[in-house]
Amino acid sequence: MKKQNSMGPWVMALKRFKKNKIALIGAFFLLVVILATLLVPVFSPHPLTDINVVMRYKAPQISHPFGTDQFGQDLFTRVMYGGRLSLILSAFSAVITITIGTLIGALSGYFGGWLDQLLMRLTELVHVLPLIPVLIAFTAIFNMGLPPLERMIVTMGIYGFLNFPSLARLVRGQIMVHKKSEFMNAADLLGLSKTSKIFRHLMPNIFGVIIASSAGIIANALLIELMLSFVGLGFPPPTPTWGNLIPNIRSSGISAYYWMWFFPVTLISLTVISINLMGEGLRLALDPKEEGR
Amino acid sequence: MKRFFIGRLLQMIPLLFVITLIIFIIIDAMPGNELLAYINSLPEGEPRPSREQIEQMMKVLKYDTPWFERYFIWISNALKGDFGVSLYYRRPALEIVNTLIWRTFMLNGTALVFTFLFAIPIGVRSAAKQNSFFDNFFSTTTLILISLPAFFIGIYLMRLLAVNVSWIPATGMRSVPYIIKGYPSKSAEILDIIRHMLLPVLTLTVAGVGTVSRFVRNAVVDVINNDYIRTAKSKGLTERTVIYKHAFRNALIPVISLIGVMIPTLFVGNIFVEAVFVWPGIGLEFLYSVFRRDTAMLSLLILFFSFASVLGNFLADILYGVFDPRLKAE
Repeated sequence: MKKQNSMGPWVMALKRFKKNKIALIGAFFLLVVILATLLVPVFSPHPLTDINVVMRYKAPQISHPFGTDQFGQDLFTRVMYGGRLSLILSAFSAVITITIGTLIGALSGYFGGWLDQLLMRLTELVHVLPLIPVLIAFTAIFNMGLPPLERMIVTMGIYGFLNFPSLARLVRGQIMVHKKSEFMNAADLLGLSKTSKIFRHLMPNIFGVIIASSAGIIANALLIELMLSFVGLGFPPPTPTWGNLIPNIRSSGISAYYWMWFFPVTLISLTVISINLMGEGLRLALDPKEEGR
Repeated sequence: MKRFFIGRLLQMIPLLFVITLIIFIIIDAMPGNELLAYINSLPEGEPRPSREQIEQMMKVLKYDTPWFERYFIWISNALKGDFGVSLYYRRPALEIVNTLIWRTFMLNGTALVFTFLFAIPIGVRSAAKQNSFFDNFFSTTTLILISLPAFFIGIYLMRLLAVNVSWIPATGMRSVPYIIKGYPSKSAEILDIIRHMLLPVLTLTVAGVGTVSRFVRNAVVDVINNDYIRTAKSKGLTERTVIYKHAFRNALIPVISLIGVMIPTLFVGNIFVEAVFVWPGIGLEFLYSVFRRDTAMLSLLILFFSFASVLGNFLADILYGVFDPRLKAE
């Protein structure tokens, strides 16, 4: 008789994730995009600063898969280079959201009492602030004083902070559920220290929830960078980011040059969709109760 | 229930006060002020005020007093319903916002109706035929629609429709020739505005169907798993009757709550969709005000957005509370 191997929750989650074809496609596409944004700018034959007037507005061709822009620059290289900056900025913003959200949610859910009251009032306050108008107003504050990169870092950091409430509430709810479970009683009876109880016993149970929601957080941060650039509050050209590569769609100048908007917008859309498909797959894989919903 | 309602209502008041403080600090921290922005926007050739005159104007506008004093003046005026005069329009800010709100509402209200018109059948059918091709197709499609921001959908639709179908205008609310010459009749004006509404409404509808149809599907799935649905099925009722008469009616409760929660957002709209289609609503005006440093408009607009957001949260708590028996018992 074959020995029955028991599987840990993570292995089971991985197995469930692998079964989800759509999520796998998303993960694969995302991997390709990340690799491309890392490698293409390094190996591209068209340097970022290369301006070539003869090659203005050239349609997609083998040497320029996405065509060229008004300066004759290779759009493919620019899109990939821009993706690097945009992805790093949104990852940075997501790290802030996840850190603050987890910390506040965990403290609030575990300790309860006045600390919970205080932190939840703070969470509620940030939650009801109209996110985009407040962010735009903040961006306007830093619009002049700082160089572009630092300004974007500050803006994305503020966005990361303003975005924490939903994760904090989620984590708090999860902590409160698990706090009352039997394994936590056991940990109490064993006389474990608070740190050990929180970090060794409680947190591993909610990692799944945090990982699953982090995909959505990154995707939203990516879109915020785009939206801010679209209204002229993002990273200014000539440094490409995904935000400022979406040219002003209304200007009649580009209507004849469909590749100027089609390739950046589509690539970004596909990336955001893949992040979300992967996130949905992770959510289903890490929370088996959700299966079939 | 009554206590819960009043409790939530009372919680809103300190929240709104803290928000006004935050808004004031943000606007105060913006570099430059509306006076300088206004002077810079004076047409070419008009005499610029001298340094002494500027200082005098700063005194009159109380820019030299500490911020908490100005906050106090602002908030006490706001409580009396006086939100200041927009230096750009030279009219009370409240008056301008009042007209803008309805333009935004026009767009979002229409889009909401169409959203639910499409989303409810999709959601109910997906739930009735769980894991069928129809369900899988729409759950993937709606996930894609949720992932994309509305203004991306707007960009695609604008390029797809406005460029190829010349009858559909891409931007604005009125056609330029009519703005100059005036409308020949009232019906021509309405038709012109409807024509301009087509693309933004379509965009908002496509963007909204994703979220709402998923919500409807989950609401119906929750109901379908109940015992009384099994009873109805085992009584030999047809699938149609079970789904539409028994399941959907009960699923309507959360769906109606969703509409209630969405009502405040109808007045706020989507800043970026308005920016794409240059729809002269409240969102676009907000962007312009940021660039103009129109302090009176900015503070009123952010205050309005915050108020809508607080109200939306309040409605969500109340409406979900009304239908949550656990809260009733308390």
